[in-house]
Amino acid sequence: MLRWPVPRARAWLAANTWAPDWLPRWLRHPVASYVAPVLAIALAAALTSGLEHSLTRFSFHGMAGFLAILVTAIVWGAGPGIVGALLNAITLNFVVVLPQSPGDHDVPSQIVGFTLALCFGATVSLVGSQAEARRRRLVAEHAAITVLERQESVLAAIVQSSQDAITSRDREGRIISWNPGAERLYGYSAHEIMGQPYTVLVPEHLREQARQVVEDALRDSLQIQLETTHRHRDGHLIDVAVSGNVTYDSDHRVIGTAAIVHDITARRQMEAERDRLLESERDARTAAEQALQARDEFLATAAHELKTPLTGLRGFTQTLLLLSDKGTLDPVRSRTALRSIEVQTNRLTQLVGRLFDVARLETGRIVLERAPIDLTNLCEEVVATLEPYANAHSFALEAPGPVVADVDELRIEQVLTNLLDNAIKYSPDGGQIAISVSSPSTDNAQIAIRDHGLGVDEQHRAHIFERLTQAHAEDYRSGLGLGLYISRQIVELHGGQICAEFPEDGGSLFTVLLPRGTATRVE
Amino acid sequence: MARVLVVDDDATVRAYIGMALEEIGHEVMAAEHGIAALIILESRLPDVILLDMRMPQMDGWEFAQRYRDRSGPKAPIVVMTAAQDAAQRAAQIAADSYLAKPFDLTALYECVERFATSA
Repeated sequence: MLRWPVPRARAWLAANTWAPDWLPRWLRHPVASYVAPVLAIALAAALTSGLEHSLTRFSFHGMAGFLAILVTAIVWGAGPGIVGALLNAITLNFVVVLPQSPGDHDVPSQIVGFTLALCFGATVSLVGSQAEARRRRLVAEHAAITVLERQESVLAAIVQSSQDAITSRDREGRIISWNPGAERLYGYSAHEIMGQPYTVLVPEHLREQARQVVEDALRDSLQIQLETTHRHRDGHLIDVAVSGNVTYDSDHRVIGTAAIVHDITARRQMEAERDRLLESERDARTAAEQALQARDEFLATAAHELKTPLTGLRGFTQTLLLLSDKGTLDPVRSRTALRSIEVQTNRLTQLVGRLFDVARLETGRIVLERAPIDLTNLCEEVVATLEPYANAHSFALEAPGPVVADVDELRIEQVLTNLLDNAIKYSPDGGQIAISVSSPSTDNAQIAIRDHGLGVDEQHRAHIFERLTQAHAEDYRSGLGLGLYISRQIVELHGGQICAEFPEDGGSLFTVLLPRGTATRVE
Repeated sequence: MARVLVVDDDATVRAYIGMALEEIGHEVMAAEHGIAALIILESRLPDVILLDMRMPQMDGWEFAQRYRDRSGPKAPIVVMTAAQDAAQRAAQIAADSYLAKPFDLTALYECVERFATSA
C-alpha cells in the first residue's frame, strides 16, 4: 500500500529536477541538485546568526530562506525547491526561533509555524519552478522554429538555384511545385503548369510506362530511378534522368512524389557521337587493313608478272652477248633473240603502263581530253590492229553509220582494245566476235562486244570489274587482272557505264554506254 | 652433254633456254604445259627437267605429282618460278633444285651442268 507513492514521488522529482546548461558539469549532477537547497538554507541561517534582535533575525531569516528556495527552484527545479522549503520550515521553527513570548515556543504553535512556512515555501518553489519551466519551453520552441526555418530556407535556396528541374506531384499526379530549373528544362512557367497532370511532360508512347513507374512507387514507397524521354513545351524531345521519391505528411502517409530531372540530351548526343566515331574508326581500320592486304597482294602479283618478261629479256640479252663474244652469232639466231626481246619489251611496257594507269586512276590524276570522236571509226581501227593476232577469229562490226560522242579518244581506244583482247584471249577455239555500235537515245552511245568463248564462271561474275580479279587465273596467264578494272574506271570517268552479261549459249557480252555530251549537237 | 626438258608456257623462255643450252652442246626438248611434257617423257628420259609452275592445261604441281606416280627411272626436277618464295615452291613438290626468275644465264648453266655430271 505504501509502495505506490514512492515511485510516483520519484517520478515527480525526476520530472521536476533540472539543471541549466550554463552550470558547471558537477553542479548539474542530481546529487548537486539536492545538496544545493541544503547549502542555500544553511547559508541563510549563517547570514542571520550574527543578528542581535531575535525578531529581526527571525524575519530576516524568513526572507533569506524564501529567497534561497526561489533561487533553488528556478535553477534546479521544483523538487530541490520543495526540499529547500522543508529545510527552511525546520530551521525557522526549530533552530532559529527564539522564545519571545511564552506562547511562541509551545509545540502546537511550532507545528502551526512549521506548516505555514512549509506551505509558503512550497508555493514559492512551485511558482518559481513553473515560471522557469514555461520560460524554458518558450526558448526551446523558439529555437526549434529557428532551426526549421533555416533548414527550409536552405532547401528553398537549393531548389531555386538548381540547374535541374525539381518538381513534386500529389497522389493524383498533379504538379504542385515547379522550380526555375523546371521552367528552363520544359519551357512551362510555374503559373501554367501548376495543377496540370505530370503526363503532359511525357510523350504519348511513354505515358503508360511513366504511369506504371509512379503507381509502383506510390504503392510500395519505392524510389524512382530511370532514364527516359520527356517533352518540352514546344514539342521537342528531351533525354532525361529522373530521380524521385515518394513524399510523406507528418503522420507518415504517402501524399505524392517529388523528383529531380536532369537533362542528359547532351550526354546522349556525346555517347551517340562517341559510338559513331568508334564505329567509323573501326570501319576505317578495317578498310585500311583490307587496303594494305590488297596492296600487298597487288605488289606480289605485279612483281610476278613483271619477272616473267624480264626472264626472257635477261636470258636473251646474256645469250646474245655470249654468242657475240664467241663469234657464233648468226643472223637467224640474232633475229629470233631480238624479236623476242622486242615482244617482251612491249609486254613490259604495257604492264608498266597499266600499273601507272591504276596509280593515276586511284589518285584521280587522269584528266580526260574530250573531243567529238566517231566511235564506229574507232572500233574499225581497233579491230584492224588486233586482227593479225587473231587467226582463228572473225570480226563482225555492225553500226548505223558514224556515232559521234564527246570522249577521250586514246582512253576509249584503250577500253576497246582491252575488251577485244579479252574476247580473243578467252575464246581459244576461235569463232565470231561481234561488235555493234549504236545510239540507243539521243544522249547516249553504246558499244557492245559479244564473243562465243569461255565466258566467266558464276562465282567470278560479281567481281570481274574489281582490281586484281583474274577470272581465268587457274588456266590462263591472264596478266595483272587490271584490264577490266581500268576499263570501268575510264568509262565511269566519262560518266558512262560498263556491264557484262553471260548469255545462255556461252561466251560474254560486254556493253559500254557513253554519254555523247556536246557531240549530240555537233552531229 | 645433257638432255634437258624445258616445261614453260612462255614461248620466249623456252626459246631462250633452248638457244642458250644448245650453244654449249646440250640437247633441249620443250613442252608448253604438263600434258605435253608427259607425252615427251613417255619416249625420252632427260637428265634434268626445268619446270615452270603456273601453266594452263596442267600446272607444275600436277605434273610433278603425275610424273612421280609413274613407274620407271626419274629425272631430277628444277623448279623455275617468278614467285617470291621460290624455295618454298620447290619444296612443295620435293624438287631437286630451283631457279628464281629472272635467273642469270650463268645460274642456268651451273644448274644444268650439275645434273649433267651427276647423271
